[in-house]
Amino acid sequence: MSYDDVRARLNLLAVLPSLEDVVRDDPEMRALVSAARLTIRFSVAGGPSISVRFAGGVCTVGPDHGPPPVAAGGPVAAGGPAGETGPAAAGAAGPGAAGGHGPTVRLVFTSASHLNRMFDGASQPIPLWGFNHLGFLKNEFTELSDRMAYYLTPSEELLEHPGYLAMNTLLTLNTAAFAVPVLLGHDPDCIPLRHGLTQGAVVIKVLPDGPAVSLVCGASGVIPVKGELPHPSALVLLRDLPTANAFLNGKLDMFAAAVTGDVQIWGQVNLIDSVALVLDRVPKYLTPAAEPAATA
Amino acid sequence: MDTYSFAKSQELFARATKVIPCGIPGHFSPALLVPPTAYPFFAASGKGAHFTDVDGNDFIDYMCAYGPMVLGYDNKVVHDAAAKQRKLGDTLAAPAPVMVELAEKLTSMIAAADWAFFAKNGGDMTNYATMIARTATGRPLIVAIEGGYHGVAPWMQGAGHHGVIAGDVAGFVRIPWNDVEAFERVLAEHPGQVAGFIATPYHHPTFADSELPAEGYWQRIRELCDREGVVLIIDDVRCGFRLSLRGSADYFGFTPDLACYCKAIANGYPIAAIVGSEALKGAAAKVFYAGSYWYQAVPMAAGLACLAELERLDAPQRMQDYGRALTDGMKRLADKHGYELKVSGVTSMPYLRLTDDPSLMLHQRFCSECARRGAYFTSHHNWFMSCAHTQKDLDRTLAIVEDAFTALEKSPKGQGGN
Repeated sequence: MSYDDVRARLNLLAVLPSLEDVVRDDPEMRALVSAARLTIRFSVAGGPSISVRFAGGVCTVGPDHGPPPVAAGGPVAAGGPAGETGPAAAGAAGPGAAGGHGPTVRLVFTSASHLNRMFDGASQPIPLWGFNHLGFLKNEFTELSDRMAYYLTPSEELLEHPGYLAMNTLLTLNTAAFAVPVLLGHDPDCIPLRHGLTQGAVVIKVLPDGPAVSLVCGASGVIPVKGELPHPSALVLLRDLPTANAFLNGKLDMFAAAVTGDVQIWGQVNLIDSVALVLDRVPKYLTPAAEPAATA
Repeated sequence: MDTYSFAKSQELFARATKVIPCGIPGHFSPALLVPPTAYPFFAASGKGAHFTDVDGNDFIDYMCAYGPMVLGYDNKVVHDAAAKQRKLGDTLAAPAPVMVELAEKLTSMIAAADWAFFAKNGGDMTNYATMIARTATGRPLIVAIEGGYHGVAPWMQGAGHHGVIAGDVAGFVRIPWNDVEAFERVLAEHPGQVAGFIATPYHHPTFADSELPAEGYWQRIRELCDREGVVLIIDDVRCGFRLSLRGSADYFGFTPDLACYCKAIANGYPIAAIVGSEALKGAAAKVFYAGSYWYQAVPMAAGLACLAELERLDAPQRMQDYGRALTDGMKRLADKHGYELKVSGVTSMPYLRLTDDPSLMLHQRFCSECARRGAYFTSHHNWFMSCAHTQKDLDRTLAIVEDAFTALEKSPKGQGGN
């Protein structure tokens, strides 16, 4: 799978779910979308798709629950947490495909790089359905996604503000966790790690009061869950928000930090080792300096 | 019972992190000691089965430098032999006669060993073994065991690890341990392509129980290798001379084509060896393989002395007896305190685990309580017995274990909620 394909999946399946956190934890953004009741479906032709739903001031990002898209040659198999759209599927689904979540705005990207350029702010999608909701897309949704990008693009100056530090850490933590199944499924360097993955749940938690994410590793893959699951097989405890932020942004020597107590690890350390190998690959795709040649 | 503190270790580690990646890299990394705050990071000295850390804390050592310490630290017999050779010369412009003597010693000791070759680390030898197998057979593929450890070269670490590219592992197929049918499948899927089969004498992964070979496993693997012309390689680096002085393959009743040794050869002096059958001597000769210090004479002299001492002491039996007494005693104490302690592997290098908590967090707390009282137990790796462990060490260790179980009961729940 190409660099752009993997990155598109990460943008949809790992970055976009951060909208949930921004709407929940940023009062201004919550107010902004409080009246919205609609679903925005992002689809890459021949690639992944995901739905962003707004209802009652809550944003939910997840797989499509509408009828599966039908390609010219027959049904297209779903894969992973989000569906895979066949090359001929663009436009096959219509209004209301998302069931009870209100009308659907359907945004189609002609390719993975098309979607990635949108995430870079350099291109626009092709709206196929829901033209009457383009105003929401152009205004509220754009403002919301700009806010998410703001929280995910830290500077040293911004990180000095406790509120920003907390949001950046939360969003980075969740993005990293949701990137794990994507990379294990599609990154050439990570795919071989799937086979040796010990079964069990890894909880990564910022002390003393969170946030936390859980990665449930099983025979069928890894399922990321926001929050802390009980009875984990392995624990990664990060001393505080600044430590967690440094850890998540690759500024911490993990081995040294594990000894100094900045990062505490317990349980099936081999499971943590495997997850850490995958997490180490995230910046290859999701930092501004990432180069496509890195995966050539 | 008093518990230790490690201020100087931690201070030295802080210095180390400024000038050494990870502070202490590799298998000695304190990151594997859970929690690191319960363990020493730097050793100041060693004597017998004990080492003293930089804070002056004394430990009964059950890791034995992860295997090399087999006769005890600061062993006079080995040191004297090394000192004698050092006076004559160590790294010279040509090998010293002791190289031939050591090869003769190994080939006389180890069953079916017709020749020997020396290097420094176990990974040097396992890598060489795969090259010999490919040379001898003209085939590309090596079959290894999932989770089997053979060193740190890219193919040994496996795909997905840092610094490893797909090409590094392209010539290797991993199959589960104790699965003869899986080996048969690989042979059927790659007819005439498998050069070698490499495995440890029994499976001793980290963070998991050790697994002995199923009845008839090795004999069946041997048959398949013979039938298909595959070179059977035993990685005896960790088990070597702790199961049998004739080699661990002999302990399990089969004969390999190549066997790799390292840890217990010279009681801490740096040397590794591969031994092989006459049929593979020509292939071994064709492979160019060398290192700057591989002809160092002092470790060879130390190896000769160490092997003689291992024979004199009937070392494998002695270490297995001590390990059995230790693990039986620990199991009794665990039972007394309401825990179940599982012991796996051969008792000269057992892996222990409190089964009450599959996450290992309880076991980690137990081992750390022992460590801070002076019994150097790790929770992720098999332990090692030595010929230097004494009855006094055993009694002291069991007293520590008893106190550690009591501490577990008294202490509040750990980080893992256990």
